[in-house]
This record gives sequence, structure tokens and C-alpha cells, in this order.
Amino acid sequence: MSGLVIEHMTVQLGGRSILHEVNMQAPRGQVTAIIGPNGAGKSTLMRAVLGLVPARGTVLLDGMPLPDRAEARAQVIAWVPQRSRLDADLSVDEVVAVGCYSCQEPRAPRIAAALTQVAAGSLAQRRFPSLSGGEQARVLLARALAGGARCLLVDEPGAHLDLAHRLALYSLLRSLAGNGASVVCILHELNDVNRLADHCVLMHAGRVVTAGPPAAVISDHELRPVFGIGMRTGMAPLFDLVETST
Amino acid sequence: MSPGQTGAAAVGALTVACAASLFVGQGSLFDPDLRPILLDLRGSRTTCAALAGAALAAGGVVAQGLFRNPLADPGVIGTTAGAVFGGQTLLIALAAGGSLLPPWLAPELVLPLGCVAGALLALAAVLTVASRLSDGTAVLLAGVLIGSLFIAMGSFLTSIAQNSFELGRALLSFTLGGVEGAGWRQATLAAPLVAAGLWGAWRWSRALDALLAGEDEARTLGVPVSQARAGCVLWTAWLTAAATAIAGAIGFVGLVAPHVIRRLIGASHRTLLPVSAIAGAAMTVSCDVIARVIPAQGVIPLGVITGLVGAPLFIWLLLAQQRKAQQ
Repeated sequence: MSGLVIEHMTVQLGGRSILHEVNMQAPRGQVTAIIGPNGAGKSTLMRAVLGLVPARGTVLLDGMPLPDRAEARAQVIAWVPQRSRLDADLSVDEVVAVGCYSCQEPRAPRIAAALTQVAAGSLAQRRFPSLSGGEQARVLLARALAGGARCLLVDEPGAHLDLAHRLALYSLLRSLAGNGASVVCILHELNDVNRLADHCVLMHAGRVVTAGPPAAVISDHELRPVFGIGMRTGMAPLFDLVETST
Repeated sequence: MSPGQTGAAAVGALTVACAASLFVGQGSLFDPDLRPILLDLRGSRTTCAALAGAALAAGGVVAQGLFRNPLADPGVIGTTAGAVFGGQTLLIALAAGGSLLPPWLAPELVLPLGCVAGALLALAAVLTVASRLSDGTAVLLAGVLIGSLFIAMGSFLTSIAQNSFELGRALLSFTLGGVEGAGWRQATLAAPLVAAGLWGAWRWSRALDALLAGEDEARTLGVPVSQARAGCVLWTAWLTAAATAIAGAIGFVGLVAPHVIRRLIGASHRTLLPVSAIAGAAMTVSCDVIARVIPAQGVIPLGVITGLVGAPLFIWLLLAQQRKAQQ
């Protein structure tokens, strides 16, 4: 299958089992949402795929195992953290240039293309710490895109963003998937799953409970035992992005 | 200011400082009898001061990137003290078994090796402690304490070496530092060491930019983090050792020069490192000129002047960082 395939992923940290035999797929050309309550293992799963925590199991991208070397791995899979620890006085194009660490020269066209892709070309000379949360989120996405990876792991793309910025970012992620990338997002806001994702994976206590189309996963039947809350559908107001003033 | 403008200003400052260094001091350069001697003495002294300053500033930039802390000067984190201790140990070893060296190998040619080993030892100790501490100020404090330990060990070596007048004098002179006695031989030896250090450190500048976001993000961006850390440790030790071998313990250049340049051009290491090296050279040459113009009975060590400039700035920076952390 093309896209990201995770098989038998198991993670133990400090003698505690965090992930147990996780199997999931994130098809190419689609946005996959990973949902679940706090402590379900969503972030650990993402970190395990990225090689940031020791893990057992197999990760395949388009049928090929992910490379072990950081440089080669960065060329195929990229991470957009929920909040970067970056607070140094770098310009936006310098931040995006870091995303090209493992790319061949010339880097400048890649940087310009990535910034254009996230509609942040006008920010190129601004200082990164002076940007708003929404602008920083777009620049971090551009940094991930600049490396040319075909699989994007995005941790809480809507966190800390107002509704307009969140919708703009979701639209961008959907267009990236439309262009053939595998986009995997951790989402806490269940109302956003239908809007963003084509495929949804529900996790609980380090295991995958169910996976499938959002309409099938986001249901009272599936969510009640995991979150311990009841659910009524069709109550949340729907918003659409009419213009992106960002 | 753009990096190009700042670099040009730093080159201008270095040119002015070098010119002042050639002209300032006892004896006039306009005296045709004295001119060749003064040019020789002051030229080599200026070159050594510039090389030491460039190495210390570049070492400061790399150490600050490595620790993600703008206060991580090689002097503050104990690297300079380690390099001095390594140099002292080697001097004692040479005194004990110097005749084992081949005749073509002058002692000052192997001195940097001792300095590199000492600096590496000190950096390894600080990094080991730093890996168990999350607070940046605590890491700096650990560096200061490890530096104190190396200073104490160096003082112990100096005191037991006083039995031999020659060795005791050599150790004391090396510990106090300064470029007043530096000749072209030291400059010729130091130039390739510093050039190699600057080139080696600059090659990690992209990795250092990525490490500004932390090790996890850097790793996902393709940085081989362990290799990058090892490379940065090696080149920090190398640059500090090169500066120490030329001029002894000179503090705060690695703190002041990068700090000023970072404020002007930002934190990207590809430009910060070379421009800071030029600024560090300008600062050290200027401090050496100041040391010469202050009326005193003897020679004022260069490290005293850099300390008088650097220590107040360090305290101000520490307070500013504390204020930022509390916001």
C-alpha cells in the first residue's frame, strides 16, 4: 500500500508500556487524523515513527522501510511540532533554510517555493520570534515542506490558532495531501476531524481502538468507551473560510 | 544592519585597531632606526592578539549554540581553565622528559596539544553535568565550578613547580597570559590552528542553526545530533586551546563579541560565526592597545582588560536573561 504503514509498534519508557503492538495506515494523498484522550499514546506514536524514542516495530513509507540515518529519513518524512522550542533571533528564510539541512544545493529556490506554498512569501525577511502564532505555524510548516518529504507528521495543527487561521491551515494541509503527500495529524478538537481528515485512527491506552472514515469513527458508539463522555452529532456550528487575511 | 554591513564595520574596526596597535607604545614608528624593530615586535603581537580574539569569539559562538545559552563563554564554562591546565601539565611533562622530543620539534609546537586535551576534558565534564540539568543558569554554574576545579589543579601544579625557577616562571607566565612576548614564530604556528578551527566550526553552522530548536527538532530535520555535538565540542576545545596556547587565559571575548554581533545580525551561525570572529579579533587587539596606554609600573596582562570590559557585561546579560525567563 502507498503511504505510511505502521506495524506492531511497541514502545516502553521507564519500564512502562506506552504503545502496544500498534498497527495503522495513513494512505498517500489523504489526511489521517489520530485522535484519543490524553495519555492515549498519540504523541509517542509520532515520536516513535520519527525515531525520537526507542521503539520496536516496522514503519514503511510507500512500501519501503524508513532510513535509519537522520539525514536520509528527513528527506522522506517531516515533523511539524505543536510548538517549536525555537526562540532564537532568526529570520523566517533562515528558519525555513534549516528545513533544507539534508537537501542538495541550491537551497534558495526550495526556501522560496516552501514559503510560497504556505502563503508566507511576504514574511521571508521578518524575524521569527516577532511573528504571531498563526504565522509561526505556517513558517514551521514551510520548514517541513522545504526538505521535500512526502510524508508530513503534524502535531495539533490547530492548537493556539484562532478559527480563521486554523481553517486556513487545514485547507493548506488538505491541498498538500491533494498533491500526493501522506499527512498525519494529531487532533484534540473532535469537531475538526470531519473537516480535515479523510481517515481517522482512534487510540486509547497505547492501542488502536478503531480506524476508518471519520464519519464511522466519530460516533457515540466508538467515543463513549474511550473518552467517557456522551456525544450528540450535528450540534456544533459549522464555519467556512471565506477569506484568508493572514 | 545587514550581515554584510556588520561584517564590513567589523573589518573596519579591526583595521583601525591593528593600525593603533602598530602605532601605540613606547618608541615612535616615525623614527627610521626604530621602525623595523617596532614593526616586527608590534606586528607579531597584533597578529597574535587578533588570532586569539578570533578563536575565542568563534569558540564562544559554537559553545553558545551547543548549550543553547548566550552566556556560555569558553571562559565561563571552564574550557579556558581546562586548556590552561592542559598546557601547564604538558609544560611540566616537557620539563621532565623534554629531551625525548626530536630536536626539530620545539616545545611551543606541542603546547597546543596539551591545551586541546585539557579543554576537551573540561568540556566533557561540563557536558556530562549539563545532561543532568535542565536549567541553563545551573549549567553555567556547573561550568564555573568545573573551571574553578581546573584553576585549582593548575595552581597546585604551579606551586609544586616552584622548586625549579625556570619551570615555575614558565608556568606562571603561561597562566597569566598576554601577547606582549609573542613573536612571529607563535603567530605562524597559531594562524593555521585558528584557520582550521574557524573552518571546522563553520562547517557545523547549519547544524547549530537547527539545534537552536532543540535536539528533537534538529534530528527530524536531518541533523546527526550526536555527531554535531561531538564536532562542536571538538572545535570549541580546539579554538579555545589555540587561543590559550597563543595568549594564555583571556576571558569574556567569547561572550562580548558574539553578543554584540548577534544583536546586530541575528543568530544564524553561518554569518554570526565569521563576523563574531572578526569582531573578537578587533576587541582583543583594542584591549591590548588599552593595556599599553594605561600608565603602570609593569605590563598589564591582556586578560585584565578583557575582564574589566567583559565581567560587567556578563552580569548585565545574566540579569537580562533572568528578566526574560520571568516574563
